[in-house]
Amino acid sequence: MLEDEWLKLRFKAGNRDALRRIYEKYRDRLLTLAMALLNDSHAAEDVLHDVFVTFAQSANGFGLRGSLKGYLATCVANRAKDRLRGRKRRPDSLDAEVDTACDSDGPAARILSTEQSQRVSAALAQLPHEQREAVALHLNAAMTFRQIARHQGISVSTAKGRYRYGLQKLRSILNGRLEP
Amino acid sequence: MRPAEEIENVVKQMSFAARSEMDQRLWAGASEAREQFIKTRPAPSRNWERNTIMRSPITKFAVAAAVIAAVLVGVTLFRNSGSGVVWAEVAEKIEASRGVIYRERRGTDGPHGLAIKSDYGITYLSPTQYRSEGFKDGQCWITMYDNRATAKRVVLLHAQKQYVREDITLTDEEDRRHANYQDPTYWVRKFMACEYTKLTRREIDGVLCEGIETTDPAFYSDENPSIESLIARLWVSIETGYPVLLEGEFHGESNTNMTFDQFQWDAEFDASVFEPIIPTDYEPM
Repeated sequence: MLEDEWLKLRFKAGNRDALRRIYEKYRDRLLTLAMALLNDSHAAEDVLHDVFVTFAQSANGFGLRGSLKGYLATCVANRAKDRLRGRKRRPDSLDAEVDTACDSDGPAARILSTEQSQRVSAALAQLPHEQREAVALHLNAAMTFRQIARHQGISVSTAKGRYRYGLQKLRSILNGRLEP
Repeated sequence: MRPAEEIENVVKQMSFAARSEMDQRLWAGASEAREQFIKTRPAPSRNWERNTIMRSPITKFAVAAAVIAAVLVGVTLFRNSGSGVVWAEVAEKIEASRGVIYRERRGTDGPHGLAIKSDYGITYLSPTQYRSEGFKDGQCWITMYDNRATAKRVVLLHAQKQYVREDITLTDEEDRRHANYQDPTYWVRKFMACEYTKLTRREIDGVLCEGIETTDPAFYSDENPSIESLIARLWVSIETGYPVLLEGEFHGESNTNMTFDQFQWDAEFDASVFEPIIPTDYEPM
């Protein structure tokens, strides 16, 4: 989209307003993606913090090719994956017990959302990470299966398969739990 | 069992928003990192920009304009001692500019109809052609092309997938005003014709500027004779002599404000910038 092209140019030129606009434009979309991947508002905030801090420092290295939205979504997905790997490496930690929801003070303390969104996020957390990522990147970040395949280092058909299996599981988890 | 499409929609509709405290923490982190980075990074390389033009067709025309402007800024740096803005030369300088890209924001609480639906507009202006894109909530909702050489106008309304082709009648008072509104050169000329006072130097977007301010009713009387009071400021880069920010507030029966900024002066445009592209699924209005 032209606005993003303009924002990228301004951002690369060192314009402060451009960073602010990018932040405001994508903050909640990326937060939603992080919640879809992590179902933990603390972890989602940490991921977004790291993504925006790194992005803010990346003007020289940041390329103009490709979509800004896709770039930021991929950054969130990578950070979320790193975070989940970290949990697995620390099996004694509290985080490891709950790969799903682990908000001690509840997400409502830091995030605005509907009960439905929380239910969906909790259901997504029950999927294997690769399937959850395929579903979230396709539906919450509007990434194509080709982009998801590249991100996950797999073939397009495998990406579609992960998405399909993920959706089937999600369907059975959510069946009867959603508001009509 | 819910159909797969319904599950897809439910996931798509999932939405989380940062509360104020989280928002403040996140933005503080990003802006602090940015400031730190700006302090420590080497000067940006113009070579990088030149190379990027060739690789990125979408941004080609805009980057090309930026590079040309940057080169001319460099030339100007050699010529200008940096001792201050020569105000009498500002209008002359921008009239010689081949083209300009800028952002424009307007607001009014009155019935005035121009550009008030947009959060901001991005305009590409050459001596005879004009293209402006209006953005609302991050979406480009309108694109306008004016060709004053052929007196033709094309307007695209993207949400409605509709377009209009019409003749421009610049003799018409409203069209004349419209043309003036879109042209920052017009406003700079107005500044020079009004009484103004000089302002203290100020840094805008990292550029050291000198400014002037006017409250002279003549500044806006052609646009709105019933204006009761106004304040307008023009900020010009000491290094380049080009305007960096032009802003005004106008009070009367209705209150209006306008801001022009993010200028890229002396831009040389590819003809395609002003060539209306009407998608095949758009219907004439």
